[in-house]
Amino acid sequence: MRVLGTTEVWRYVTRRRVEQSGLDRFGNVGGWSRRWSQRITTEGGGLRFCSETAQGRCTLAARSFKDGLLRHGGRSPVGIDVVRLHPGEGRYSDHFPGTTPTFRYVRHQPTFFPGSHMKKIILAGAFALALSFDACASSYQLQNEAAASEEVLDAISAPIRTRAQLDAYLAVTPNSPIHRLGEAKMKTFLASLMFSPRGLGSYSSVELEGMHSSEVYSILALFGLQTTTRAVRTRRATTEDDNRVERRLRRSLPPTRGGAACLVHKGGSSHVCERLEGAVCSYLCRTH
Amino acid sequence: MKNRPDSRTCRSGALWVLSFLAFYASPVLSGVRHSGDVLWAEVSSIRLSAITPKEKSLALKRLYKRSLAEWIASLELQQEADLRMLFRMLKTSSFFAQAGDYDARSLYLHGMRDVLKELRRRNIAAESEVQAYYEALITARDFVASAELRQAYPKDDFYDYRHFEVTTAPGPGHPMGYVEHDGGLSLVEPTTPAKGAYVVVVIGCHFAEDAASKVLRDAELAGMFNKSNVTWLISGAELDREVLTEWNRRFPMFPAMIAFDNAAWKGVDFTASPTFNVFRDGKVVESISGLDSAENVERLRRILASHDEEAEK
Repeated sequence: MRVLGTTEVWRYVTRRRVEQSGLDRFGNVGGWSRRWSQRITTEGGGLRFCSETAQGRCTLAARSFKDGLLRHGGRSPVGIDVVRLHPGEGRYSDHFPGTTPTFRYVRHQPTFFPGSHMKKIILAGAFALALSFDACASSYQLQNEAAASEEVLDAISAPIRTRAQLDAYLAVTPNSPIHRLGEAKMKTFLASLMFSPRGLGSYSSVELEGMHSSEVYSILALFGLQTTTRAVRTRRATTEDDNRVERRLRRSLPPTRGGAACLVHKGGSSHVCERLEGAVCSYLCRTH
Repeated sequence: MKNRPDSRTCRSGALWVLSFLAFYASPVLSGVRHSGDVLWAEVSSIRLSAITPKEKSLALKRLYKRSLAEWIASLELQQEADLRMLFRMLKTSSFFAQAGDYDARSLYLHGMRDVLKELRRRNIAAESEVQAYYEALITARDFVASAELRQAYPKDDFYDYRHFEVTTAPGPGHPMGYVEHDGGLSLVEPTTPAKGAYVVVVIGCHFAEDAASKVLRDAELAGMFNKSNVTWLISGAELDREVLTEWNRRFPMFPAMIAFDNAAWKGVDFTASPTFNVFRDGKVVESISGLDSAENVERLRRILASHDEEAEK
């Protein structure tokens, strides 16, 4: 029996479903732009795309693989807020009347880590999704992580989420991918990093320009932001590792929020995005 | 009789002379070869410093006047690496000029144009540099120059920003913005009164979305926003039209616009998002950045309430 991972789920959807529904050259799916950081989740047995900019609201993309067609626009769009990783928020719904589509917005369960309720929900979602496969895919079984998007998995498996963790990592890893930047660039790159309670909120891509794709990827992977490698416009792809990275990036979402730094002030005074050339504000720039 | 120096002494002396030349004289012999690195370090330091974006733009202008202008005057003498470095510095300066030092924008734009011209003359202009200059032109709303650039580089794959193009640009000092209209963008004038109070909210990031959601959830504040004259504004530096589309989709009750020219929106602080710029009789009287804290929410509530009272009188 073949096990289908998250990457393969995405590939499957892209090949079998999204393209049939019309994916234009800008990555727009039926008028809903991929630029807005959609995430895949399988809450309720259906396949949903979640918008990061919509604070993790999910619109129902496909009720199941059998349905095939992408549907978006608020058909009972209840889903996991997959981009909210911060635990302990409880659960509540928020309803905005008069908007199109109408959302219901559900925050995370208290925790999102192995052994938690969230894991059970993801498992249930994965199980429901597996059941809904058509004959073509019925032999596939999803792993737990298949229920969440690649980005979310990247984020939750990120080894570094705080400045203290970064300092500790650099102290014991003298050959880290970050050290490949060289002393001067490393210094400015590290100075540019802005951490939010969720992880790395923003970073400067200027120092990463001209590096190999695989090098950029491995640096950003430390923070769970490897899919934002595309924000580095001039990447070199000369090795097989680079090509692998580029292949993955083709499936990832185009970067947004360029030119802004994530300023999360201590004490909860005022959190703002400030103009900063070459900075990339990530989906982890959140305070809750 | 003087002893002839042995070969070891000769080698040592020669090495010393070469070391001296390498260390002290090479910048002289090779023009400004090393100044690019030094200047870039300075630009980089300003870029990431803890000062405000406006202070950064002023610091960069001082640097331009002190060093870059002279450098631009002698482009033909520069080495390729220095030209690229110079272009990079001008790009950074151009970016921060959008934060408030509007007069300096043309300086940097002309500098970028001249450096790119020199790179092209040598047939070494990179696509990323052409694209960067193209985006700077679009941000400056110089659609004639951007069209010429597209023609000059027919093989380059330019991003499609033609939805920003207008046949007649508004005069200087007239605040206008792009709104979504009929599947495209059209330019409109905001409804900001010459007399009385109004609010211009600078948006464009997730914290601004959080702020708008917060206003919606607060019935009293939402009511005040409905009564007040509020413009939700995205900086003209934003070239991603999807930002506007997504905002309008999420907050149809707060339709937004993208500034045609930041400079025309006098008094509006574009450096941070969200920023609530409160105006009275055309002049900014309050500016609140961020709406996370209860303190800022109450401050905004107080300001809007006082404006409501004034309007009722």
